[in-house]
Amino acid sequence: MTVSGPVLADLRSEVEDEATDELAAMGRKVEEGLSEPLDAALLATELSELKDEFERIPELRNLGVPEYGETPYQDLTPAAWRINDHLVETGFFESAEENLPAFTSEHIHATTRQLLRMDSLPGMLSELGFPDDEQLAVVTNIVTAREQLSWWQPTPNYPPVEAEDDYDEGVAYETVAPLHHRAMEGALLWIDGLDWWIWQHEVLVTDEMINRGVWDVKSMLAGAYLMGDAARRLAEGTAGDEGLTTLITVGAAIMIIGQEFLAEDIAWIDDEMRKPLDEAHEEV
Amino acid sequence: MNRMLQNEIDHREDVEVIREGPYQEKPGESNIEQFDTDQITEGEITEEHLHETGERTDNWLIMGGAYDSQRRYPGDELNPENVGDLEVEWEFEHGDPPMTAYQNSPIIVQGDPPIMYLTFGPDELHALNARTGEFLWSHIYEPTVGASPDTAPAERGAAVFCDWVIKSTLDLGVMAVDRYTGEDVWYYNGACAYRGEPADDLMHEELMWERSRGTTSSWPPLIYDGKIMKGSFGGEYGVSGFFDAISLEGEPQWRVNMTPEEEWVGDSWKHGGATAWASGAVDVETDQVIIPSANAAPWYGTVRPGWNPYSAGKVAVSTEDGEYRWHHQDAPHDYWDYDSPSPALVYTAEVDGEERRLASWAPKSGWVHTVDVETGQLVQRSEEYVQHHNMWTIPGKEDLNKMPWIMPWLGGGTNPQPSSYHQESQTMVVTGHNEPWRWAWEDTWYEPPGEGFSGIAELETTEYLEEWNGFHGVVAGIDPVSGEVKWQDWHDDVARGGTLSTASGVSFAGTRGGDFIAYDTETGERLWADQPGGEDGEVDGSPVAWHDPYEEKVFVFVSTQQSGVATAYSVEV
Repeated sequence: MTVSGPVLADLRSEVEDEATDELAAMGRKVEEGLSEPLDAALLATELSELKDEFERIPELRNLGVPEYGETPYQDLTPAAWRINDHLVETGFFESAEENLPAFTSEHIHATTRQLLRMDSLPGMLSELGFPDDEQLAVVTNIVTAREQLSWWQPTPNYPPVEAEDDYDEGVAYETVAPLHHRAMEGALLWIDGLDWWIWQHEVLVTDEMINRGVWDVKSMLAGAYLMGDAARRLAEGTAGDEGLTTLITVGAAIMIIGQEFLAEDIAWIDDEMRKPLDEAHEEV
Repeated sequence: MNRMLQNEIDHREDVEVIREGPYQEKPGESNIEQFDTDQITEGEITEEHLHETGERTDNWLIMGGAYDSQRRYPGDELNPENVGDLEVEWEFEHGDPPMTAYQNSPIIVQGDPPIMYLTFGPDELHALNARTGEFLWSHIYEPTVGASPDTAPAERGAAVFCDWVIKSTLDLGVMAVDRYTGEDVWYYNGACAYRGEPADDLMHEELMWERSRGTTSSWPPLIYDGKIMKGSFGGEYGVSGFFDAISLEGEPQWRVNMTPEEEWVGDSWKHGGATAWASGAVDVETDQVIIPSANAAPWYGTVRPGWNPYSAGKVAVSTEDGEYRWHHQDAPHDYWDYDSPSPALVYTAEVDGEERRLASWAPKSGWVHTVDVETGQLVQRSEEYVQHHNMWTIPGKEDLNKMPWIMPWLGGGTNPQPSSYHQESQTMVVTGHNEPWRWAWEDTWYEPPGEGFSGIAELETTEYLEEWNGFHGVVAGIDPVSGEVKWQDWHDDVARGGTLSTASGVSFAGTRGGDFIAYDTETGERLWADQPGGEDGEVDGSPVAWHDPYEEKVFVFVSTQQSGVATAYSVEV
C-alpha cells in the first residue's frame, strides 16, 4: 500500500499532452444518455458528507475488531449510498456503460494518463486525506491490475443465456447491473459487510489484514467520491468532457480493484495469513 | 452489524402469494406397490419420539441421528472390542444403479420387526423389514420434469412423523405417505410459486428444468415443533435458493429467500444460487434451524459483486417464523464452487473454561468451522484436513494453462456427506476429497443436445504435483473446538460417504474404493473393514446403526454406489 519514491506530481510531469478528442466525445454521450436530470445540490451535499467520513478512516486501524453491534465501517457509507441511488435513478450508470468502452488496456492507459493530467486530482485526493504516496498508489493500482480489471465487462459482453441449462456460464442480461453500477454498489456492499465479518472472524483476523482492509475501504470510497464528483460536475456544467470520462472510468476502476483486493486481503483467509491456531483464543 | 441483523425479516418472502397457488396439487405420478405390509406394526411417531431419538438405541428417526445431527449411535453395545465381529446379516442389489442414486441414509422405526424407510435416486421410497431386508411397500414418484438416467439425482433420505413417511421430491415438493401402506396422504407443491409470483400452471416455469445435469439432491425434510422444513436446489440453473417451512398439513408457513435482495446489486439475486439443497440441523435450545447453503451463481463473480451473503456457508433462522439469527460464509463471493452442503452438527463444549453451545461443519473449503450457535461468531477454524494449495486463487480468463494448480478441488473438501461427532473424546469424523485442479473462465455457448455443462474450463490432474501427497481421499478425526486434526487416514480413492460414530468410540466411514471401515474414533486405528459392494463399489451412503432388542443384535447399514448393493451388518450383543 505504501509506495516510496516518486509521487503523483512526478508522474504527472512525465505525461505529455495527447489527443483527448475521443474521451471528450464519450463524455458528451454519457451526458446525453441520462434518463433524468442530475441533482447538483444533492450531489454536492452528499459529497461533502462523504468527504467528512474520510476523517474517521485512520481510527479504524486503531479500533481493530468491532464489538458485536458496532458499525464503524457501515457508518462510512450512507452518503455514498445516496449518491449511488441517485445515479441509479437518473440512468447515469446505464449511460456510462453504453457510451464508455470496456476496460481494455488501451482505455485504462488513456484514462489514467488523462487522470494524471487533471490539475484538480492531487488536490482532490489530498482533501480526502490521501498523502502523496497513497495518491500514487491509487493510480498505480489501476495500471498494475488492469488484466484483472478487464474481466469486469459491460453486461452485453458476457455470453448470454441461450438455453435453460446455460446459467452457469451465460448470464441473463436483465439481471446484471451496468458495469459502473456494479463497481459502486458492490464496493459499498463489501464495506458494509466488514463489521460483521471482522467481528465474526476475530479468531482468524490479524492487524495486518485490518490495515490492508482499511486501505481498500479508503480507496473504494475515493472511487465513489470521484464517481460522484463526475456526476456533480456534469450537473453543474463544470466538467470538461474528457474529464468526465476520466473520472467515471477511473472511479469505477478504483472501486472494482478495491473489491478484488479487499476479498484477497481479509475475506479469503488462508492458513498462512490467519492468526495462528494456538493464538486464536489468547486475544479474543 | 450486518444489515440482515438490523432487519431480521428482510429475507422472508410473502407466503400469502403461495397460498394463491396450487400448492396441494402434485405435478407428477406415484406408482405404489404393496407386499406384506402387515409386518409394519402400528404406532404414531410423536414429537417426543423425535426429540428422544438421539438417546434411543432402537430407532433412528432423523437423518442426522437427532436434531443435533451428530450421527451418533448412543449405545455401548457396539464397541472397539466387538466391532470386528460384524458380519453381513442381509444385503440386496437394487436395479441398474445410476451414478448418484445410493447416497442414502435410512430411517429406522422401532418395533417388532423394526421398519426401515429407505430412498434411492430418483424419487424412490421403500419400506423394508429392517431385520431381514424384505421389501414391504414401494412408492416411486415420477416428477413431471423428469430425470436423466445418466446423472440421476441422489436421494439422501426421508423423515417420519405421525403415521407418515415424509419425503422431498425432485420437483421441489414435499410428499407425505402412509407409512403402513405407502399410499399418498398429502403433497405440498413447493414449485407453484417463486420469487413472489404464482405459477401459471402447476409449477413455476423457471423451475421446470429437467433434473439431469450437475449436482442435484433430495434431502429429508426436518420436522420440528409443528413445522416441516426443507430447501431447494439447482444453483447452476439460474435460480435463487429458498428454504421453506410448511405445516403438518402441507400448508406454507414461511419461506426464506436465500439471496436477500438488498444484499445483491441490481437483480443479480434472481440468479444468485445459494440454494439450500442439503439437510439442516436444529438446535432445540435456541429454536433455530441451521441451513447449509450452496455456491453463489453464476460462477462469474464480476456480475454479482459483494459478499453474496447466505451463499457458500450456513444461515441460522428461527424455526418459529424464519427470522434471521446469523449467517457464516465459508467462501464469501465464491468463485470455486466451494459451497457448504454438509450439515452442521450441534453440541455443547467447553471453550476457554466456559460451556458454550456450538455448531461445527466440514465444507468444501476443507477446514472444520466451529461457531457459537447463539451468535454465529467463529470460535475456531481447524487445521486443514485436506490439502490446501494456492487457495483462493481467482480463476483467470480463458488461458487455462497459465493458471496454477489449486486445492481443494471444486468437489471439496467435504461435499454433502454428513460428518459425525463423538462427544466423549470431542472428535468430529469427516471424509474429504483431496485432488488438485485448475480452472479458468471460458466463453462457451451451450449447444444442445448435451448432458453435463460446467461452463468453465477445468482440469484435474493425474500429473505429479510436488505439493500434492497423491492421495485422493481422506478420513479424519478432528477436535472442532481446538481445531486440531487428531488423525488422518489417507486413501487412494475419494472418501465421499457420510460417517457414523458410536458412544463407545467406534466410527464408520466409506471410500469410493469400496472400503467400509470402522475406526477407533480417538486414534484413527482401523478396527474392522469390509467391501460391501466389492472392489468396484463406492461406499457413498451414510451409515446408520440400531439395536434390535427382540433379536439382541446391533445392526449397521450402508449403501454402495455403482454396485447398487445395500448391506446390513450385525453383531450379537
